[in-house]
Amino acid sequence: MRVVMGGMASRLDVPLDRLDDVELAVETLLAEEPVDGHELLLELAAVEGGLDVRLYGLLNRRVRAALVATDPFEPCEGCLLDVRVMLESLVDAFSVVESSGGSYGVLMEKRTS
Amino acid sequence: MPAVGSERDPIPTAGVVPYAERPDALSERELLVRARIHGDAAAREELITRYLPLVKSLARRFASRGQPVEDLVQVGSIGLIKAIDRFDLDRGVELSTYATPTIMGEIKRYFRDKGWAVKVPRALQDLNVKLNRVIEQLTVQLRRSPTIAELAAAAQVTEEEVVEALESGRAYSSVSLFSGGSGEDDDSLELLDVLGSEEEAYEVFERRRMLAPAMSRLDPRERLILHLRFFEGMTQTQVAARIGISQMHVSRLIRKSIENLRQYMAEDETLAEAARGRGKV
Repeated sequence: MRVVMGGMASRLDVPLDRLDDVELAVETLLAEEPVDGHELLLELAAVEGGLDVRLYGLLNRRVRAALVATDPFEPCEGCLLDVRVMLESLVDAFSVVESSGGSYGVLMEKRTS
Repeated sequence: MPAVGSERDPIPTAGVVPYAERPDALSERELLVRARIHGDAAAREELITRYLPLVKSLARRFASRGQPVEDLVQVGSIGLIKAIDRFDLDRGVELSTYATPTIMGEIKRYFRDKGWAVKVPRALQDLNVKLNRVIEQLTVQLRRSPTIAELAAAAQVTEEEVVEALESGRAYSSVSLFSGGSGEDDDSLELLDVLGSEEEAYEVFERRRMLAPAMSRLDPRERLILHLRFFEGMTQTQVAARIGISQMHVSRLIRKSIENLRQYMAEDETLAEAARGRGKV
């Protein structure tokens, strides 16, 4: 995953520290997922001035609840780490979308300049 | 005693599987259908037997890395079994295509879980060290973190080599958090001096109820790094400049701190479950 993202970043001139943030954001979400080998889809897209990262197929509803909570200080109960705090620091914007089969996706934007 | 095989007493066939249906006579596809759809244990066993040479071949790639090949074959076999059990017949790929990364992943995980870094080729190690220096130089020169293209140009290597070398650098994550690794000396690691009071950082975490009890188990310096990055809102480059270490080192420290936190949180959760009488320790 990191090699693929690195390859993408090299073509978009993404500074290293920002690339590392994006990788860490994805790794943070993955770490909260159950380890049953279910399928995930990672999409990367170059947009003007940044990078769009979309991770679909996530199942951890507690993480989802924390990400969409209206109270930003609501703790991520049951999560290993407070994913919301981390995403707020690691990417410039994020949102949650529902996807098929009861899973959800997290859309993240990272400015590269 | 009647003669076996006579017309009157034909050869008993009960329990004998005709050759065409014996697992060792079936194609891989047929075995997969039997194993995955019909739960045929004999077919699954035959697939494992057929693919064991692949496991051995992959395990031998790690032969010089301090662990007995026999152990790696055993670990790799777990990966093979997982691959067989998870294989999707509708994907249109060979089992070997699917099994190879699964087996490799299992072997690498074994090294990682044991705390051993996967051995990185010497040339990549050297390039990683070189890139550490180049990143620092370019960060000062450009006043921002360099891009991969800029690194490649400065180090006179391809962008692919830069990506590979940076990735290989993660193999050193088991190195002590504050043990330099890229030329930083110990004097630069008096992190607490930077903030003044590490308790301040701890309180912020507590207020936010971010990580609860696990935070107290972190090294004070680990807490500081996380505080600067996630609560002060500093970028990795800014944290690096503030503390006096390289951005790559900050990256490694953040990952290691998070990894430790995650582990502590999981341990705490397990203990809490046990205390409630419904978990396992």
